[in-house]
Amino acid sequence: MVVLEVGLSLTLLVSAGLLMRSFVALREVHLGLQPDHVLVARLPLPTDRYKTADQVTGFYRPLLQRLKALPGIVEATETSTLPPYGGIPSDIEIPGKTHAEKWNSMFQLVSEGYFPVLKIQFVDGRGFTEAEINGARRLAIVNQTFVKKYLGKENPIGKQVRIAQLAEFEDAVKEPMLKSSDSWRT
Amino acid sequence: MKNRGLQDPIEPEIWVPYTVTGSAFRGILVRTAKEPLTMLNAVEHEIWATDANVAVTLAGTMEGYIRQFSYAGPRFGFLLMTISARLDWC
Repeated sequence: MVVLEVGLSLTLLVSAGLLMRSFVALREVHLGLQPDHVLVARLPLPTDRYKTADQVTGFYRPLLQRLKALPGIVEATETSTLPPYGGIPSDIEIPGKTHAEKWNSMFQLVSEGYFPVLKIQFVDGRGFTEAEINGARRLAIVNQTFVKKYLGKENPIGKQVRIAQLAEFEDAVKEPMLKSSDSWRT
Repeated sequence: MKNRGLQDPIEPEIWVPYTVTGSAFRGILVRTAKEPLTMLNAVEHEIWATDANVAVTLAGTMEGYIRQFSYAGPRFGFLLMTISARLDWC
């Protein structure tokens, strides 16, 4: 009986040790962003007054200006998802690329402050400018995994990508600012 | 940059100007010079000054959410195992 109890205790202690090691390893994961000193909030806009891109922009543009003007605020951004926990899934197409299986990617809707807020480093190229955001320019920034998976060793700058879900969004709000055939430059 | 939590491999990701569509859930990220929660009231004030009828939900720090979503489970498992082992030993 004693042998059984000691055996059980040792098993539990070893399991606890393994869990602790996993926990420590988790704490040391390199996120690729700096989460310290970042405040997050979800702002579900009233759907009766915020249906179109212009209406949503009409809320966020002045809000972000107000926030950036506050003492103690370094930078502020709009975001569609809380990083590092996913994004909006979508099928994608890259003009000139043929493939049997479906290609997909997650995407995020952000403003020019997104990369500075999270202190994300660029491998190449640059972030969005305020003028590009305000002008609703059809631009895109992609991560290294996207480049490796879909472009290989090709330079992503200047390439185009279609985001199927984005076209569906626009249809849903009855104001198709973009058609599904529109393309995006990376 | 991690984009499927802390443990899963990174997936392809695209960032797009938010001004191109009116759809999808939205929120804000704000980098502060000091402790983020001390700025919460001021941030909420500016949100409601922009539109008094907008709700603010899930407000907190990014570090707090990462602790909650990614660290809480393994930490709880570790504590549970340790307590069980100690009880069994006694």
